[in-house]
Amino acid sequence: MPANTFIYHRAADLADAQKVIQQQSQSTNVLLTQPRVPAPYPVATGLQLDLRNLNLNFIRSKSGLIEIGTSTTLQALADAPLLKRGNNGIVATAALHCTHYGLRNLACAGGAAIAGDGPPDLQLAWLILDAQIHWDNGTVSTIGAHAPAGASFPIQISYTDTVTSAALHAVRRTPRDEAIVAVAAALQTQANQVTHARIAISGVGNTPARCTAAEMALAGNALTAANIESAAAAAAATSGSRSDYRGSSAYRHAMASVLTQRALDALASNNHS
Amino acid sequence: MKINVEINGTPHPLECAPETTLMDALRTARVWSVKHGCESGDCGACSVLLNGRLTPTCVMLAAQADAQQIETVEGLTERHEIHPIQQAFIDTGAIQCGFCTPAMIMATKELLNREPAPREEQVREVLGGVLCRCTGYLRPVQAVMRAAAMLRGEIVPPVDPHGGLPFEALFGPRTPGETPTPDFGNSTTQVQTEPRTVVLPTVQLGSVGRPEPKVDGVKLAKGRPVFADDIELPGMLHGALLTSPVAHARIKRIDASAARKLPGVHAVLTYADVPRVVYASGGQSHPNPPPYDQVSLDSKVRHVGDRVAVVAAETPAIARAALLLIEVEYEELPAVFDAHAAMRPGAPVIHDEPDAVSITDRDRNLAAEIHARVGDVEAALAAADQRFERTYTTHQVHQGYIEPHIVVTWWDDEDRLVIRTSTQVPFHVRRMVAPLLELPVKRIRVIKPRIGGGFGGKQEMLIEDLCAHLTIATHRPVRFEYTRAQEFTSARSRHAQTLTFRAGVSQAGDLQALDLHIVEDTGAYGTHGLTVCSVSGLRGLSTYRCPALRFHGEIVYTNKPTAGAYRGYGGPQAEFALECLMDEIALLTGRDPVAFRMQNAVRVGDTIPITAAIGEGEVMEEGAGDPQRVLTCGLPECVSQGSAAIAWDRRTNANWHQDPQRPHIRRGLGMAVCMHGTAIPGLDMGAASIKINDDGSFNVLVGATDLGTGSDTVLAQMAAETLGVPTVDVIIYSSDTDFTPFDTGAYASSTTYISGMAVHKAALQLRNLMFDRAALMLNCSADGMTAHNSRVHANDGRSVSHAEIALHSLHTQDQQQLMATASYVSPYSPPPFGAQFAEVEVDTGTGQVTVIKLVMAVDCGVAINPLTALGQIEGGMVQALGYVVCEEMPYDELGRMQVARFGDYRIFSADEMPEMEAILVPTYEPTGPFGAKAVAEIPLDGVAPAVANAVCDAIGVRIRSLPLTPERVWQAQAQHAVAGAQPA
Ligand code: FES
Ligand code: FES
Repeated sequence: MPANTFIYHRAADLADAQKVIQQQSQSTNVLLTQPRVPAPYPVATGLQLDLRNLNLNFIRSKSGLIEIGTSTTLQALADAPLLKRGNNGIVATAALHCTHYGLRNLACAGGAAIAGDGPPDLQLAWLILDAQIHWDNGTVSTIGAHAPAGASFPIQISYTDTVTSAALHAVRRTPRDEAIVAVAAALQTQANQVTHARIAISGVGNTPARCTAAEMALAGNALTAANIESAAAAAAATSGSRSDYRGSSAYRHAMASVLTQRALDALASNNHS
Repeated sequence: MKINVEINGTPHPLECAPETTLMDALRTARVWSVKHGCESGDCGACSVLLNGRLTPTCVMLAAQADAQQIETVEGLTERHEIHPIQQAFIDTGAIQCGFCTPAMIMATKELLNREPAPREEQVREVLGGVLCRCTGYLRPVQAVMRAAAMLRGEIVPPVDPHGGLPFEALFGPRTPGETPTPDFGNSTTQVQTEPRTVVLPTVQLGSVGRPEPKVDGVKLAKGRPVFADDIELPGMLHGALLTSPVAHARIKRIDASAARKLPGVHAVLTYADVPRVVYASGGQSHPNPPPYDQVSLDSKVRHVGDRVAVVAAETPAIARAALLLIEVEYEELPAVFDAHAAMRPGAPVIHDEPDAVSITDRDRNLAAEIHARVGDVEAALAAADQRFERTYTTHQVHQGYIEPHIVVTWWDDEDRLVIRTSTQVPFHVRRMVAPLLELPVKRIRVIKPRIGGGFGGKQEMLIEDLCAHLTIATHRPVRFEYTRAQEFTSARSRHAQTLTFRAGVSQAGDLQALDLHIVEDTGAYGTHGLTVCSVSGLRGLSTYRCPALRFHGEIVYTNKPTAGAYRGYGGPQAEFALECLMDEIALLTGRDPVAFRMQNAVRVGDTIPITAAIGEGEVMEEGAGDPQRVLTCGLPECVSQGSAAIAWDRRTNANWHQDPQRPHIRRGLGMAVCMHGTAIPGLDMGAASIKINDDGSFNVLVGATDLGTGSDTVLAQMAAETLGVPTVDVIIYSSDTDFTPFDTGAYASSTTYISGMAVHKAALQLRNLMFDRAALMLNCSADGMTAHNSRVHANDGRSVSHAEIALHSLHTQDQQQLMATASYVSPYSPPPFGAQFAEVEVDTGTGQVTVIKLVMAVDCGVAINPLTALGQIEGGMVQALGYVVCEEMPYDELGRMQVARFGDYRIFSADEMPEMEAILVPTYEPTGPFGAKAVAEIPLDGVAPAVANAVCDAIGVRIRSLPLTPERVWQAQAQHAVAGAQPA
C-alpha cells in the first residue's frame, strides 16, 4: 500500500479490528471523536478504523463497577440517570462541559479519555474516581497514562461504583468555555476523618493529573479548614509550566490553589450538612 | 468508495473518496442547507440530524454515515409548504443572515421530537450546538418556544399584537410619501416616546413601523441554495492559498514546478505570474483612501498568513496537496509586532517597496496620520479647574461571521468575467478588481447572493482577485473559499488601538477640553486604517459638548495580520475610552456618573463641531466645513428607560453588591452613553429602480447589500409604504452589478438611511406616474391623489387599482412601462443615540467576570421594522459582549496567531448568554426616510465600557485594557491591593 493513503475500514468485530491494524504499514486512526477535534478535519492519513459494529456504546453498572463503552457519546453520559446519580453527578456534569450539544452527540467517551488536549473535565472526573481504561488487547491503564504496549484503542472506561462526594470547579472565560484551570476533588470521610482523597488538576501541566501532595494533606487527617488550606497550598505548588493567552503559568498555579480550596470547601460543607 | 445513506427518507447512494467528510458529501449531493463554517466541529452550521440526533458533519467521514439516516431542512416540507418550525423562525425574527438557520431549525426539530414542551434551559442547551453571530439567540429561543406551541396545536399570539410601531400616535397623521425637509434654523424636533408597556393604537395602513417578516425569510428557513457557495458549475476547479509561515521575509526562491506537475492541478500562480498593480483593498468609494500598499501576489511577505501562491485543481484535496509541493525559500527579516515599537528609529521597515503610494512615513511605519482640532485645547486645559489624563488599550478582534469568504468566478458566454462573491461592496469590488486583472469594468459582473454575515469583514476586495486570476489562467470556473484558520490569519479584524485622553473639567462639571491621541495598529497593510482611525476621532469627540477638541491619530504598520472594517468602525474603541473616562471623572469628582454624562451630553439643536474638522479619512481646515447638527435626540429617554430596566437604583445599595452565599462574588452595575453616525455624509450613495408589473406588484432593484441585517425587507417596506401596497407586493432584488443600480454598499450604517431614501424617492416618482395614469383613466386631475390599499384614490372618491393602472399603461393606451430610478446622497449624518447598561458578577478569587444582564435603549429614529431593529441591537450587544470578556487575537513571539478556530476564539453560544433587553426609543429624524436613523452599529459601542464600569463598581478596580479576561481582572485586583486604594 502506498504511503499516506487514506483508507476507511469498518471493523466487523474486535478480532477484525486487531487484524487489520496489524496488517497496516501505516498509522491507524481509530474513529473515536474527541471533544476538541483536531483541525482541519480530517488530519490523519492511513487507516481510519470505525468501531461502529463493535457495540461499544453502553453505560452499565456491573459487579460494583460503572462501565462505559468507548463509543458512548458524551451526550449519553450527560443524560444517563446512572451517572447523574453517582458521585454528585460529576461524570455527567463533566460531559456537559466538554463541548457543545451537537458535538456531544458525536464525540465519545473513548475519545475524551485518551485526548491529549482539549476540555479536561471528563479526564479530571475520571482521575478522581480512579477510572481505568480497558484496551483492545486486554490491558488496562489509568487516565493520562500512555497506552500500554501492544494496545491500539480503548474498549471501555470503568470505575468503582462507590459513594464518593465529588466536586468540579473551574475558571473559564465564559460559562461554557474550555476551563483555563479546573480542579476535581473527591473525598470519603468517616467521622470527619478523610479516609480517601483524590484531587486532580488541569491547566497547570500539559495534561490533567492528580495532585498527590494535595491528597496527602487530607488523607488520614481531619477535614479541617487548616488541612484544606494545606491541600490548596500543595495544589499551588503542583508541577507544570503551561502558559498561553488564556492564562500565565503564575495565574494557573494560583488558580489551582483557589479552585482546590473551593472544591474542598464545598465537599466539607456537604460533609457537615 | 460507495456509501448508502438515507437522506430525508429516501435512499441515496453517494460516491466519494474515503477522506470525504459527510459535510462535503452532502453538499456534493446538492444538499445545500448543510453549511460550511469551519473545519473543527465548532460552529455547528453543518449539522444535520443523524439518526435523529443533531450532529456536525464536517468532523466525521461520509463513510461513517453509511446505512444511517440523515435529516436535513430540505426534508421538512414540500416546496410550497412551510413547517411550523420554519414559520416560527420567520415570525419571531430569528433569522438574520440565515446561514445558521438550517442547523438551528434541525436542532429545534430534534428537541421538539423528544420534548414537546421544552423549558428555556433545554432550548438553549440544544441551540448551543449552533453558533449564530447575528441574533444574540433571544429570537431563536423565542422561535423554538413558539414552534413548540404551534406543534402542540395551541393558538399562538400574533407577533405584532400592537400592529407595529404606533406611528400616528407618536408622530401625528402621516401624509403618504411625504418626506420632511430639515430645517436647521428651527431645530425644535422633540423626542416622542411611549413607555414600552402602553398599548397604542394600531396603524391602519402602511408597512413602515411594522414588524414585517423578512422578505427572504422563507428561502432562508428552507435552506435554499442562496449563498455564494451554493452552486455547482460544470468543470469547476477548486482554489487554495499558500500563506506565509513567517512574519516578515523576502521570497528568495519559489519553485512551483512540482505542484504544477501534480495530476489534477491546473494552475499555480506566484508573484511572477500575475501583474503587479498596486492597490488598497478597503471597499470604499473612489478614490480609495490611501495608502496603496498591496499587490495581488508579492515577493515579500509581511505577516504570518500573508499571500504566497494560489492553486487551482480538480478537487480541494488535490489543491491542498499541491500547496505542499510549492518550495519557498524565505530570507527572514526582523519583524515588529507592537505599534509603538514600530514607530521607533531602527524598527524594521515593513513597506520598503518603491511602488507603494501615499504612505505617510514608511521609515517610521506610519501608514497614515490625522491631526484635527476645534478651538485651543492647550489653553482650555490650562484654564480648566481639573485635568485628567488616562490611557486605554483595546485589542484586535475578528468579525466572526459564520460563512467564510467565498468566491466563485467564471467566464460567461460573452467572455465576461462573472464574480459571485460574499461581499458587502459588489460595486467597489468590480471597480477595484478591474485594474488588477487588466480588464475593463465593463467585462466584469459581480453578483452578490445572500451573505452569511459580514459585519464589516466583507467590506473589502479580499480574495476576489485571486480567484479571478485563477479563472483567467485556467479558463475554467474556480471556487475559492477561506478556511476558518485563514479567516483568522488572512482576513480582516478590528484595529487594536491605544487611546490617550486628556480632559479639562470646570468646577461646575462642564467639559472644557478633550484631547485624544490614538495609536492604531493596522497590521501589515493600510486598507481601512486611516478611515477607521478618523471615525474613532469622531466618535471620541462627538458625544459631549466641549468647546476645545483635538485629535491626533497615528496609523501604524506592524507584522501582524491586517485589520480592517468591523461593525462600529472605530467607534467601539473610542467609546470604550471615552465612557470609561467619563465614569472615572465622575467618580473622582464625586458626581453621579449618569448625571455627569447627561450634564455634558449633546442635545437637540447642538452642532457637533468635530464633524467639521474630520471627514471620512480626511482632515478639513478649521471652519472649512459645516458641522453636523443634532436634530433629534432620544438620549434622556434612553437613559431613563434603560435605568429602569436594569434597576440602576441597586447601585447605591451596598448590600446588593455582595452575596452572602458566595462570599467571593461582587456585583456591579455600569453604563455607557453611545452616539454613532448614520452613513458618511456627502459620500455614501444609494440608488433604486422600481417598475410596476401587470398585477400591480412592483420590482425594486437596489444596489444595496443585505448582509443579513434585513435591509432588503426594510427597503421593501419603504417602497410598499410609499406605493400604498402590502410589502408582499414588492419584489426586491439586490445586488448584481449588471442589473441593479449603483450603491456604495452595506457599511457605515447607511442602508436604511441612504438606500432607503433612494427607494423612497424612486417610489415617489413612480407614484406620480401612476397618479398621471389614473388621472387619464378617470378623466380627472391628479391633484390630491393618494395611494393606499393597492389603489390610487382621486379627490372625488373614485379609485383605480394598481393592477388596472398597470394593465392600462402596459397594454391599453399610450403604452409605457411605468418605472422610475432615483439616487440619494445625504449631506447629513444624523446620530442615533443609545444608553447601554450592564450588570456583572466578578469572582474576586479568579477574576472571572460574568455578565448577568445587558440592557440597551436605542434612539434610531423611527424603526422601519421594529423586529429587525431589535434583532440588530440584540445581536450587536452579543458581539460587543465577546469583545469585552473573551474574544481576542493573540500572537506568539514570532507573530503566529494563537487562535485559529472558533472554539479557542470563543464566540458566545446560546447556553451561556446573559439576560438581554433591547428597547426602542422612537424619535422622528426629519432628514431620514420616514424618520429613520441608523441602528446597525451603535449596539457595538457601549457594552465594553458599561461592563468595565460595572466591574469597577463591583470590585473598585479600574481596568483600562481589554478584554477583561479572568487573569487580567485578577492581576488588576492584585496590583490594586498592592498599590492601595488608587483613585477609581
Ligand atoms: S462547519 Fe461543521 S461545525 Fe463548523
Ligand atoms: S442568522 Fe445566525 S449566523 Fe447569521
